[in-house]
Amino acid sequence: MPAELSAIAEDQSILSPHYVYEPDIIDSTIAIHTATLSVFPFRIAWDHNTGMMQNAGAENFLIATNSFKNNKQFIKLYQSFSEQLAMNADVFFGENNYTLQEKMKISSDAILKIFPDKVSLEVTDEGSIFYKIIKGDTSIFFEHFLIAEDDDPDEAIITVYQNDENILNLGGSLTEVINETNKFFLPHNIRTADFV
Amino acid sequence: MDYPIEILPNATFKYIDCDLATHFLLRIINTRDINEFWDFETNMLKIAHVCSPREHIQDLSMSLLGIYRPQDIFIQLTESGKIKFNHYCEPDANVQVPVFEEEFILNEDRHHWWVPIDKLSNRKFPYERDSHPFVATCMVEHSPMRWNFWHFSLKWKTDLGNLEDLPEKQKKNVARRIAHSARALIAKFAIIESPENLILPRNCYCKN
Repeated sequence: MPAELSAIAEDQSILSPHYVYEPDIIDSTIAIHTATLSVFPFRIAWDHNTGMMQNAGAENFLIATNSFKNNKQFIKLYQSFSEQLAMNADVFFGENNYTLQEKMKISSDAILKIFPDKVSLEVTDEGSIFYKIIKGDTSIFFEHFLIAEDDDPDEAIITVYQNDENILNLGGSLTEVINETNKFFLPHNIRTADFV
Repeated sequence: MDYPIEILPNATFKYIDCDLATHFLLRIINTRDINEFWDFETNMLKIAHVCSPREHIQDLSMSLLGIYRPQDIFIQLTESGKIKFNHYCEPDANVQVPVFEEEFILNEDRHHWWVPIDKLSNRKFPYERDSHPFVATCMVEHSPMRWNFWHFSLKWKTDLGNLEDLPEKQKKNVARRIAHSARALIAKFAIIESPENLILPRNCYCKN
């Protein structure tokens, strides 16, 4: 990553009142909503995000279509991740914090797409994020290994229970596991109201 | 402080041979602060308190609730106590009673979680769509120790044979998946509310 980008990243706090974020990183929900949105030149104001789509005009802000609950969950996860990252600095010795945070955004974004009722994460001493997700009668355990070896892609493992029954176990690259997770959950979970 | 001799191996004891499906296993946590080990957001056990580091999952120590009671979690072997008592043994081994302060102390900065045996025993986790497919199975084994006859081990086996014999990369993948499955399984089913304390009939663990 270029040094100037790294400096900008360190400067910005996602929780600051006027933090803005590029849509191509956070707007996977938008990408489902409409393809044209993903090429919008606008930036998204998280702090203004109420779940309603508006164009703030002069400010050149576009309000994301993620639900407000989703954003609150993301902020909570991000905050928790950042705190735990600092506490586990020895596990991630030599790793770039900005890169780790960007990786976290990819897995958390995928998880929030399934609109969990409850979600939490733990940073493990093996350098992974272990998400626990509850959606109705389904419990999902999603682990994203942040430290890849030999330029391999990041790995992930998912285990799903419906009530007490184990219905899915899958390990592979993060992309493969996210794709399978989407196939598994999204057909049942996309509700028109969330995207209109 | 007297050691609870009812939890020690005994010449009249045998390996437990009854169905334990309705019973619970207990695992000790080295903190009494519930906020440290319980995730109130999802109402599940925190992963770090299932086992950490990951390698411990290969043989996770637990105790069968019954004769072994929640207050027995405070017994902590000293270093010399560990040398003498922290070993697997036969159920009818002849062991001395540990001496307070020399071989054990009371550590009240502890808590515990429970898990129903029927949610663990022989549970299969098929990773059939992986590049190296396999099935991991959770095993609950009675494994008496010289300080605790009611000691159980949670172990894992796979249909690939011995984990140590696998090629390095596959071994790492399989170990990761087992650790993940184990943590997910326990987080899913662990509870902190006291379950009904079922006492095993004597014929399940006593000879004749």
